[in-house]
Amino acid sequence: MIKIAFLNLLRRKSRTFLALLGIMIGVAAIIALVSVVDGIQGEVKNIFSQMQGVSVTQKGSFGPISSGLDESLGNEFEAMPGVRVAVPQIINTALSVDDQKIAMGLSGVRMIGFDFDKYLLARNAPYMTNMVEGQMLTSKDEGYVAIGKSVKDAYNKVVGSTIKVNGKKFKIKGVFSSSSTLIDQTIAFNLKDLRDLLVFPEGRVTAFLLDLDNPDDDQKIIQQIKFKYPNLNARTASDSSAMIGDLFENLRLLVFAVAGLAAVVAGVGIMNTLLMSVLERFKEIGALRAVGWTASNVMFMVLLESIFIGVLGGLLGIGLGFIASYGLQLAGLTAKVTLELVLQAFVFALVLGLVGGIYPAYRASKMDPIQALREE
Amino acid sequence: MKVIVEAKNIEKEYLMGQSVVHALRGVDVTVHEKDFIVILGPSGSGKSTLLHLLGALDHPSKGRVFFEGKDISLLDDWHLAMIRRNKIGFIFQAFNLIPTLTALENVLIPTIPMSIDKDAAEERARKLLSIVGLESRLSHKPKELSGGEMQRVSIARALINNPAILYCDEPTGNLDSVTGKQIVELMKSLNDKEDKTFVIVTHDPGLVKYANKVFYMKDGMIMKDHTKEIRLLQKIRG
Repeated sequence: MIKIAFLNLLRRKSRTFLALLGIMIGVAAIIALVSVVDGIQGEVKNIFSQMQGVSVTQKGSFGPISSGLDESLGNEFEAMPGVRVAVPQIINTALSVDDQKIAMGLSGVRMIGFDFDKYLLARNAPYMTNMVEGQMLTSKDEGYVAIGKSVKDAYNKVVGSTIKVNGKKFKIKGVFSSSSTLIDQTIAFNLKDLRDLLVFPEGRVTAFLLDLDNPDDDQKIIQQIKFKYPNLNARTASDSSAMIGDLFENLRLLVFAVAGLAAVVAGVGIMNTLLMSVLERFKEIGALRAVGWTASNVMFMVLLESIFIGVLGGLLGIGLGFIASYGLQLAGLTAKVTLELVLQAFVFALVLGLVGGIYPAYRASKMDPIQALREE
Repeated sequence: MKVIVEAKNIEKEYLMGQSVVHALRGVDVTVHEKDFIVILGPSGSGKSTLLHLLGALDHPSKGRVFFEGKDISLLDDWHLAMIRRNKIGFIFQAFNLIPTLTALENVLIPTIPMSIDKDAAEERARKLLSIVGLESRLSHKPKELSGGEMQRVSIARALINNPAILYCDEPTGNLDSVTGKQIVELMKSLNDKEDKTFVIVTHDPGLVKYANKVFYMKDGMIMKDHTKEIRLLQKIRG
């Protein structure tokens, strides 16, 4: 039975191929697009996991970029028992690098400005301290920047050369690297330099990173800050990570739905292919019925054919999806193809194949054996 | 002699567009073991419809069909399929072989849904193909076979379940006269040597000389005296 079903698909190779192609493209789209979402989500989680301690932002702002706080708050935070250092920071995204426009969003180039005197005091300051070339900035290095490895590679920079950010030239003092490509896409400034560059008001920052005496005290400190400063928001890195995780879960679902829609169209393609093939074979199917096949035997044969298309299209689509995802990575996006995603896409293809086969199988099972005996 | 199939006063009506067609108007037929029956008659005389009813492919509108003594007139689709699977062999005018399968695989098709020993079935298929003279063509696909060879494959396919009866609808209709004669002689020798029972519907009066019973159908009925008609046919066809 399996052999017959398989050989039936080989009769009209181009037609079967087109049905396969539909499933392939749908599955590949799911893999490629969702892998990008998964990849970026992984990146973001990675960054948050590297930023320990408590992050303080303005209440109502989504992230540190849209927030604004008084720098003087830092002294108040440091006066709180349990807080070792309050590191003021300004975070934004670059508009242009070396006069090339930069796309906004997570794949763009980020700018971060620290008070380096404070930053280097923080115990939990793994961010940008792994230098692969040159040195990290100090608070005296005005007009200097440290760049992430991806920025270095993208713009062919070495220590000592200059880089033009938002139209202004800076000298490169060091290159840092981390396990996160998002961090590697960052340019680090002295707080004052970045403030001048962004024309950010004097005495204002976007966020504070609090380094604690005892990292386990984070919830206690958060409660105190929220109580004392009702207009501020304080979070641990893991809180932010969970919040962003939810956001990405929704995004993933949306992308899955859009790519899934393409695949459902492909399912209709399977139905069309099989229906035509079944209608063409009415005489042959009638003969099968005449020689003693039951209606369910015939139905099973056609369903096997549709499952073949689903499985084969799924496997090829996964292969194509890997290639597409790799291509997107070469284009600079972060993409991660997880086993979970592959399994989801495969099951999806299998179900599509099966569902696409139900109606043709039903039609085939209703074919009249007498047709087979009719004269030509 | 044992009765294999018996039709008692069967009628068959069906709708063709708006009008009711009376394909059979009260037919009685009894087929005994080892019969070699030839049913002749013009197109539209109801001979194919009769074959469908005797072959458990369709239900009569009136009357009863008994297969090995059991009334099959009102059986459901599944039970009719089981009778065809286990008791009946069909030989079609257009052979109806599956083009993607070899001769051997085509012979095995009726056994696919059966729960039987596959090796034994294959052994039997090889033996049947050698009986019909195709022992050297086992792995050929239908398009690599001549018309006569395809009909031999379909005869072997009809024999794979060791049926009680074989029904043939115009078995020589798609063959030239020499090949047609060889096929009929093959069927006749199966009738003589293997005691197989045949019911053959045909336009070809040349088959009459092999038959132990001849029916001539006209307007949905079997004519009582058909000597005149058959002589006439034989004259026309030479």
